[in-house]
Amino acid sequence: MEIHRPGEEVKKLPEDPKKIRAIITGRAKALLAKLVQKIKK
Amino acid sequence: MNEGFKITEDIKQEKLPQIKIPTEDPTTHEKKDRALSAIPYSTIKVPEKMTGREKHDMFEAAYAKIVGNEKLEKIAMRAIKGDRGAFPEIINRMTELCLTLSEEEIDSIVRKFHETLRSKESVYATTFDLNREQIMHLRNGTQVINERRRDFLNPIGIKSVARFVRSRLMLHAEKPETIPAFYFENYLDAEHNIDLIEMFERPEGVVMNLVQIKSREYAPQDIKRNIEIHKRWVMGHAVNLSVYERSFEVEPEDSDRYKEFFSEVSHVEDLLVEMLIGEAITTDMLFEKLGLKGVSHAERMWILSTYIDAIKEALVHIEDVGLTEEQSNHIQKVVSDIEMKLQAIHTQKKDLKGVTEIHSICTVADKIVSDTVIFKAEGVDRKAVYVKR
Repeated sequence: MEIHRPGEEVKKLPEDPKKIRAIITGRAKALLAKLVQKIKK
Repeated sequence: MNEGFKITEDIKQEKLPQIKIPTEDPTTHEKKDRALSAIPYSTIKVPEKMTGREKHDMFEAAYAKIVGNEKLEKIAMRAIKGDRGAFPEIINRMTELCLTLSEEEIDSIVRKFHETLRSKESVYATTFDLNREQIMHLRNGTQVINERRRDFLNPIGIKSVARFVRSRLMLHAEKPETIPAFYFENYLDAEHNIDLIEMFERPEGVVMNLVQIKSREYAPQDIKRNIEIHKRWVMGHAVNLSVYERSFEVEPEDSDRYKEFFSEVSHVEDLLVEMLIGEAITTDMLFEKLGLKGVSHAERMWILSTYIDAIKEALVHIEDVGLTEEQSNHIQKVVSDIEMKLQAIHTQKKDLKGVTEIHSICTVADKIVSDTVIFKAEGVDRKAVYVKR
């Protein structure tokens, strides 16, 4: 049933998805920067 | 994904009937079970057949769980602020607790809930930043959706569902070979005009009824429309991330739920780092570690999809940071592979193997005004469901 198919406990996003996206975008940039450092070593 | 339905019940120990959905990994054919939460008919009582004491206890229990319940009040505030999904959510939660009550008791509990909510007007007006119009909605128990005003605290909907459920109890009581259970689905109601799902086993197999319950007569075009919407749901995808996204509820940053969500984000992030750095983890392992191997899990899918989009965006600038072509290609390849696998889960259709029949039912309270078979299994598919007693 959708996201909400039977059996899955559906939890709500704890914040406006736009805000979460912005947080994740920031984290993804930091993650890639960290990654580049590691790969280049 | 192969998704069937399996019903188990242990009558001797009076355990609640359990519906499990066996899911199957499309690549490895590995099978897993997921259990549904349900309201079995055996736990619902008809007020006319209860003792005075039983009635009193039922009323007290429902009253304590509804009146002054802050969680429900917050859902009501979301409804006032125009959240479309909040209406079925609050009605479904109240309905589940009121199925055993008389109509007068339902009226009384909903009225008391609203009175308590109104008594907290100043607190909620500040917390939820309500404008003047929304404060009026709080006082009246109304909301506006698509420029249409409706009473979201009108007990008539709850009473209609209670009447329908009780009439089905009587029907099932006449056929003891059936094992029915009822499911309330908030998202289904908001998106698919399904107030209630009724499932029951009978000798020829499991029947699933998608039920839309109204308190007033349907226009003929409404019935047609409901049937079409129910059909679309039956034939649709197993996961709908946009529905999930629309159902957010803002939590404080120090709340358990907020922390839980971001710990899930960190978990996804850690696995992605492991993958992108080297050979330690494959995409198959990533999906397995996230519990997504062949199984749809809305939250994790949403986080992973969001991460992948964000990484793709950041990758546009990665050429400037001095990675070799090989290193850059590796990252691109990993991202594409994850995207492909996510897409495969995202586009999984509901597999109705194991369900014999699906009906689209429209009722006015307990009066069925339309019952249409919208799915009928043929041949071996009918054998996929069994009942363990």
